[in-house]
Amino acid sequence: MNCIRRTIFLFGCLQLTLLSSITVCSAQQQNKTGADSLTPSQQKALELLNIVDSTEVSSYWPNIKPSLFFSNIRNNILHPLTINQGKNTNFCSYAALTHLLIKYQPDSYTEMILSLYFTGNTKLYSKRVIKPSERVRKSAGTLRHNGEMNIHHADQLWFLSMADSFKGYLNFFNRKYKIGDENNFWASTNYSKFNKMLREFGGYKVNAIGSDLLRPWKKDIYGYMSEQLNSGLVMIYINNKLMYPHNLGFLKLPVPTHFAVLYEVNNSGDGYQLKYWDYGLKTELFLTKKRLKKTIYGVSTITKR
Amino acid sequence: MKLISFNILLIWITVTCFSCGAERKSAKYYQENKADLATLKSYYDSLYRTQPFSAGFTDKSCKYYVMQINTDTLRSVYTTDTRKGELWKNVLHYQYDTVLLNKMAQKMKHLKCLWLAKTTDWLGEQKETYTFISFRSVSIDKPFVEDKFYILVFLDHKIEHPIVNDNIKKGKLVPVDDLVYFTIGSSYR
Repeated sequence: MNCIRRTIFLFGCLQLTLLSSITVCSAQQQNKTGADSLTPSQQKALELLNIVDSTEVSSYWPNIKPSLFFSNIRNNILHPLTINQGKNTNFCSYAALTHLLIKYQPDSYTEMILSLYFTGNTKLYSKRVIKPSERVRKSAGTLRHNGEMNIHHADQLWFLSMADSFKGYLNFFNRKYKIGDENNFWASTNYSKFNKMLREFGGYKVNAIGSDLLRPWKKDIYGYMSEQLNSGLVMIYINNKLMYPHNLGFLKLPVPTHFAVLYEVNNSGDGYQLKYWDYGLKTELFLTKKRLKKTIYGVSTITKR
Repeated sequence: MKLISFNILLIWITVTCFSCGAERKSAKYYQENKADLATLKSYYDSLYRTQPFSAGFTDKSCKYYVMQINTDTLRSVYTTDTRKGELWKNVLHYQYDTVLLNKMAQKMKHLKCLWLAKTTDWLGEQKETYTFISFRSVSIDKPFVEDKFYILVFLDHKIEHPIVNDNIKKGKLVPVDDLVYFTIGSSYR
């Protein structure tokens, strides 16, 4: 049965390749659907989505509801900015990576997630095959306390698969998933694991500075970040407690807690204006020079594939 | 050995002395401040209709305000200690009622409210939006007390759902009024 599904999926991919060569027909269709503003990669992703059976429940993912799964993928392809890690989860690293992957390679994302759905495994750009465990496959679609992600079944499948397939030292004592683990060490990501995922998922060349305990040895972190923004896509590893200005807690641990995608950093004289992406939106805020230095634990730059 | 035991005893006595007697906010707090809380919420609801936002303080003494204005694609964070000018520029840009905003700010300070926001949640496939107001959990600020927050949740309508009922049954959500609940959380926003 699985072989039949795999064959159908692969046949679908082949069909898509043939279809995309017939440019005249597709061009007419795009005009009808108003898809002129879509990138070729987005169009390819949507075409791939259109040729698969979007009503069938996958035997690999028994709790994933097809209608929620496919509408979630479609929305992700069309609006990569709105991807949300959900409430009460440690999925920030997976969400940041996915945001970039869908923004720049929506077709690769679609191929991978459809392969996971129909065959239970997928091959990454690095040729590594990921095969989520049965526990994860049975749990995807059942998360209930994670805000918007409750109804985003594709995101549940995707983030749980990523967390299950990549392990770092933070996951050492909790390697087998159980419900609720999305908010603890099972889903955590250390900096090295994050950079590894960037390389394996998108085949990106990554320049990274920083670590899990010590901040980068850069005198001018602002200068470094703006330089990196000019040369590629920048992701930051930060202490999120310091990003949002407050002085209410008794103790603030000096450790990184969050991954985000940096879009802008500007010097405004007495500090810096940052614009970064996380939780389905871009955030714009001001940080003093001292706070910026304390906040940044890692800067990863994707320069090329 | 005696020295170690003495030190442990000393630490225990210190922690106990500092943490005991710190009265925690409960349903009583809501009842005592019901009118002020209702006024604060009405100001917030009215201003929120102009442009969605959240607001709070950056410090324990409630001196500096923080306002987070949300659009469909951007959340902009402004604080009065570092970006007062920019905050007012945006308040005028979005055409908030400044008199009402000032009243809300005064009420927040009076109540020592740490954060005021609206959030959405999904119960099954049903989307629900509610308002929450956070405070420090302890009535008197003392060192070594647990870092917890007292959060009042205001619903717009009655919600009958197994998840909500389960939270009430487990004591995670405590009803304090019709459509008002409180919970104790480790995060205030």
